[in-house]
Amino acid sequence: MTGAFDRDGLAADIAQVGAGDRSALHRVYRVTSAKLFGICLRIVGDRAAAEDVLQEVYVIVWRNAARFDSARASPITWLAMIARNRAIDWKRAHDRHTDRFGMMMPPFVASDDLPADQALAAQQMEAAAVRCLETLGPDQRAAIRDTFLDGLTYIQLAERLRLPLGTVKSRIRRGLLELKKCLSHD
Amino acid sequence: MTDDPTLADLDTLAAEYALGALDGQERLRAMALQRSDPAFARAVQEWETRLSPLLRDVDAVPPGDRLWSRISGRIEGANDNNARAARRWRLATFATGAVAAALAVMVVTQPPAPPLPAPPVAVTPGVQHVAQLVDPQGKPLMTIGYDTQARTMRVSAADLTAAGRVPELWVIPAGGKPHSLGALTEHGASRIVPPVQLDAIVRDGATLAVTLEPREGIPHAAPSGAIVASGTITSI
Repeated sequence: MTGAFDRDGLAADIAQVGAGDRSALHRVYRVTSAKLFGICLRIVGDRAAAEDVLQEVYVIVWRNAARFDSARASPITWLAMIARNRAIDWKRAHDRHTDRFGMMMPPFVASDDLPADQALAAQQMEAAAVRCLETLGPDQRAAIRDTFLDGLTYIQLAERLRLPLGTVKSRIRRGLLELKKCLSHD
Repeated sequence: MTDDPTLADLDTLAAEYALGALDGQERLRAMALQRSDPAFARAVQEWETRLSPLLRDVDAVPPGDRLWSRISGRIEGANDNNARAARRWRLATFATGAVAAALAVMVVTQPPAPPLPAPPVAVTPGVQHVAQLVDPQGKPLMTIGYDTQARTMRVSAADLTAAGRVPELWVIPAGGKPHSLGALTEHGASRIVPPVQLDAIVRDGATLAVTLEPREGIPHAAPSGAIVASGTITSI
């Protein structure tokens, strides 16, 4: 999640937002809103609802920017995960037959406890994860990717693939295990 | 990887939760663990980091031109006291519906209640429900007694402060989303009158939780801070 984003500039702007600088939030918005909107829209599936979610995302960023630590994650990853998690919360609250517990959990709860050495590890893990995701088998990667990016549950993925729930679960779990193994050998 | 099957299962649960694949009871279990178990919360965060590169594959799509002004309106005048009261009404009305918000805002804008005696409040005659709120490590932080006749919650004193933030009390029905009950006194005991429309929710089995929130906009439509204390309502 680094790509086209100026990591240091964005991190500096988020730090400014944490100090209450609204113009810094506007800069962050200009640089990142299209990317974050793409993430929300893909999960939520409706422009108006995705804009509501995105509005919440930047209000959360405004409130929580002081908690962002650039040693723990790249700024665009931090923002993208807030957008993605908030979109998932919205989707789960609107899915039929699921809980309505959404909007409860703030992003990265308890992250304040992360020791410094693990913070460094998190930064390195992010870079290694890019490579390890590529090493997964095509079926596993597709299942994990669709679940993550489209905001599907196991049941919804099984319906989409027309496969038994157990097959889908074990495919994803095997993929997750391989991903973790690959990263632990990195 | 550890050989302990329980830990392995929990890491799988953390992975599935970070992936977003869970729903129903499993999702609730993961959410509960995330707020009660720092190791689990860390595992979820690590899995988010592992999975986050997938987000590179998502195409950027510009949102509507007017969205920034909506966001700007939500955060405007953060340092402007004159706008604060008006904004509180507007924000709350926007977020939770006019009637509910108006009632709730009345609760939090009433003059502060006089200090109440320290716990145990549970033994006060007339109190029919009680909740013991603990911090994420399980340490008891405060007791809340609720007298359904008087429709009054007595919240014992607890030191809950953070720069620029105030403790906000939430009620969360089983499987539901949080509803604000308003701000708590930062150092002393508090008295809260739940909005009438939450009567059906403030009952046995529901969770009471406290987060630290910006003073502006209380009662908020949804919490933004981490949970600092939570507990379940039970009859006595």
